[in-house]
Amino acid sequence: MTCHDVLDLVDAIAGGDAEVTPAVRAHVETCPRCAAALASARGIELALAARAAPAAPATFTAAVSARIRRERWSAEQQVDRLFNLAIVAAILLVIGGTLAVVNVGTVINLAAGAWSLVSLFGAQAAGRAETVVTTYVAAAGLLVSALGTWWWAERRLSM
Amino acid sequence: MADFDERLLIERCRTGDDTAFGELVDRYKNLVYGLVYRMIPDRSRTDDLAQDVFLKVHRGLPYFRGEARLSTWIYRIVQNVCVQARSERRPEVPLETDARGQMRGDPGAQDGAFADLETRDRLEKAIQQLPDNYRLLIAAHYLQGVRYEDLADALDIPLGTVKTHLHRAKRRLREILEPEARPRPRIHQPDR
Repeated sequence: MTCHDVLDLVDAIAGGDAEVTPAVRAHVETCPRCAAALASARGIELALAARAAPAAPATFTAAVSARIRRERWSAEQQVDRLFNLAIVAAILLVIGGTLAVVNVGTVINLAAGAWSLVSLFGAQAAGRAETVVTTYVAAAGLLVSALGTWWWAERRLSM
Repeated sequence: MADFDERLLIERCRTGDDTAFGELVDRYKNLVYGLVYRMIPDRSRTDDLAQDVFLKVHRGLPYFRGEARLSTWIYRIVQNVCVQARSERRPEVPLETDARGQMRGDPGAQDGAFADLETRDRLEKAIQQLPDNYRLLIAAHYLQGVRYEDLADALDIPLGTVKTHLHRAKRRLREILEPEARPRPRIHQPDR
């Protein structure tokens, strides 16, 4: 048996996975290097077995649950923020759209009014101006109801 | 844990049953905690890293197909979490070496001396130099009650491979701790 053969075996022997055969024993007794390797392997085996492996603290499961709850809450907050952003975007869209419609109408109506004045059709111009006022009132109502819905949703979510 | 129990527990967790997930944590917490501590021997980080493992388990459960055992999957998560943690913070103090790259200390100290703290510290540092799969094996094998069969099962590798890898890991440890134990060219190995 050679040193190479024995050195291949020392870790298995130290770990209890291989037996010390008479041939190995005879070699180790006469070879200081292999004897030292076997002693070292046994020392490492003992040290590995003695390594600390602390048990989880008693509060561990509760701490994990708390982190999961925090993570879930954080995800809900994210959804909440997205919802709020969507509401703001929708309101801006409504306002922008309304203003655009109202402005186009206003321009047309003003042009028509001017034309009417020029044409001395006063009554017709007054009628058009009345339509514009109605549009403004409708837009304001829409805006107020959208803001009211937002405020209501916020209150519900924060409860 | 019996496969049936395990499947049932997983199903309950999947339905969002927090109590079931608490049971799962209770069953595996000591294994995970011990493994994490042995992979990253820094007590100040063990709590957080072990909790990270269970957060990943919680997030991943809906996608866990049950092809492997739950413990196999948890071992993998432990390994990934520890590898990531190591890559984020490399050990600041390397293994003590002299100018020739050899370990300091009495070169003849090979047996009983392993009991002292300094040697344990050297051992920990040497373990940190092992490849990740060897480190996990070393960490898991010496946990109380973990048998070769459990490891083979959990890591989804043959029993023989577990033993071979463990022996190689320990040999590598010897070589790190005692450079003179490194293999020499065979021409210098006389027959005895």
